[in-house]
Amino acid sequence: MTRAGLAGRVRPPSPAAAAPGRPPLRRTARLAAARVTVTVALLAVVQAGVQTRVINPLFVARPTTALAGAARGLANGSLGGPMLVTLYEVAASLVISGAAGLGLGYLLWRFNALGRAYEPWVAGLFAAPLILLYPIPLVIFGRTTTAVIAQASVMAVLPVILYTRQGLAGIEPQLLKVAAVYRLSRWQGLRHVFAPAAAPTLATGLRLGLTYVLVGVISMEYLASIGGLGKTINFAYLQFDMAQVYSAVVLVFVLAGMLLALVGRLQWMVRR
Amino acid sequence: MPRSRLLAGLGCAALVLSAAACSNPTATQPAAGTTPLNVIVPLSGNFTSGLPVYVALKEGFFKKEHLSVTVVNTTGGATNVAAVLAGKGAVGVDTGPVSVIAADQHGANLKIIGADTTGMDILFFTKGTGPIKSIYGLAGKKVGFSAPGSSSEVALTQINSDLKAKGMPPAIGEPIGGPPMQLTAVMTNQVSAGFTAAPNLFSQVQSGSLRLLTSLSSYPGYSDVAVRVIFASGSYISSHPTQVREFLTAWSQAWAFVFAHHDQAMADWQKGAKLTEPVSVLATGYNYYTPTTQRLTPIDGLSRDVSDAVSLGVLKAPLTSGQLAGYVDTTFAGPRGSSG
Repeated sequence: MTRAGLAGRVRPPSPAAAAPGRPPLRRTARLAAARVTVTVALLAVVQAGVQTRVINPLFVARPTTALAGAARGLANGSLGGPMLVTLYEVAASLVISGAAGLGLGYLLWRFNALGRAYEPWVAGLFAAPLILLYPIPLVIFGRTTTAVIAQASVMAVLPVILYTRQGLAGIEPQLLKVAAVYRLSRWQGLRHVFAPAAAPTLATGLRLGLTYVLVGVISMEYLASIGGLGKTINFAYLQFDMAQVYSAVVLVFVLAGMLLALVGRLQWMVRR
Repeated sequence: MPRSRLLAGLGCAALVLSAAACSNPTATQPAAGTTPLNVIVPLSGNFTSGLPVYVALKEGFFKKEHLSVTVVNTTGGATNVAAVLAGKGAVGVDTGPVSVIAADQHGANLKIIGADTTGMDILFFTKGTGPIKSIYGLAGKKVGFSAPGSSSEVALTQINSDLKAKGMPPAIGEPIGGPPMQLTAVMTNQVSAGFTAAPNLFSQVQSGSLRLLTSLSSYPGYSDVAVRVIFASGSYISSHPTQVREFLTAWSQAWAFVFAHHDQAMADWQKGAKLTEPVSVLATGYNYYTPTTQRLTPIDGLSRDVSDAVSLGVLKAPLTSGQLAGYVDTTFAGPRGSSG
């Protein structure tokens, strides 16, 4: 292909798209509309399936029933209380795994020998089903929310470590030289050069960490019957109260959406 | 990689996958002239479910009734009911009646077809070297039970009634699971006491590492209450009434054999269920269970089960005797030819 042909295929970026930061409002609205449309369509299919008994209502609640149950549970506190417990556990696990993961990832990047020695181990552990270790935090911390936080933190810290090292290792050498030319202090370099340059990869690590925090917290609550929404889902399932099960699941989705939006916002703030 | 080697590799992989897809290690081919039946059994080491099933298999009581039974294990309680609802088996044994009724209230088509165990058989234990010597030492302490609405939670409410009568704070219930998980939780100080039923964990009781805090006499109000039942899916009962009757007949014959031939029954159970406990430990179950506790009918005390479930929040409202009767069908548990 000729250079002219290639140039003809590549559209020049619009000024709005080229600028770092938030995407333009119209594009955001279009994306949101597309997401809502697909979600509503899927829920409508499930609703019709349950209503016509193609899907067994004993195992799946109608989405309208689950949504109404979630709203009612929040209003009367039957699900609001457990949601707050889960939110606390998720927030604590995210802070712990985020701080530990960023710190350890920085160390693995800063000291290359450490990185070469331990990164394969971290990657290996990340691939292992760590939820199977759930009895260990129960033994150490007892049947408390601390055990839930410990389990979720251990599961989530690994991707944060890996992506932090990868993000820092991927910084353009020119940027490091610029920081040296301007004689930036370590903190200034971190704030103005390293963090913005590595932000997309760090945010990916944190987003993955958040996913693992949610999985860890809800699984641990479910398996050990401790804490918030996972325990509620377990109890409701044992009583075959599928409306309550799916109402709690709706709130887990709401929680996940809120926290993912928060991490996205943090990423945008750092890059700005 | 040469093309021939690649093709050979793919061929081998396809062979292995197809062999894996065709094999099912737990399923057995039904014998000629018999009807296959999957039975949901919580734990094979339970005296009240594993023992009669393996004795019936070993002594040929199922075969005599033209049934080819496959045992499907679960962790008990509501998971038994879920297994039947998911079609893994048609009949479930050793299940709390409240789990069956709760599922039926949400649209599951299930029927209680006989009593499994009558009389509360839950035993609470603590560490053998621990400071707790009686149930009164459990005041304000964490105590394990299996799951909401289970017989172990009901037993704990009785302990709490005794504590309340003495002006002591109640024990705090923790839903942990079956006896193996209770043992771990107690030995690692997650809870002060857990529950079991004879002869589960009796090796540890005999060696002194565990101390029993309750006995059968701890629950005088439950001597005539069916704490666990046998149930089946309504559709299976409609389509296979003969097989339901045959299963219950074999079940009764197995229990008769168990109480008539202790040694042989223990040997059948130990071998069939691949249990590691010595026969002397397994046989301690005879101190707790009798032909009366293991009767199939009558199914007594279901109203007590339901009122407990309501007070524990597992069922929303009490049931009238008419409503309760709708969950039960004992016509198949009677003598052959009576009905059904």
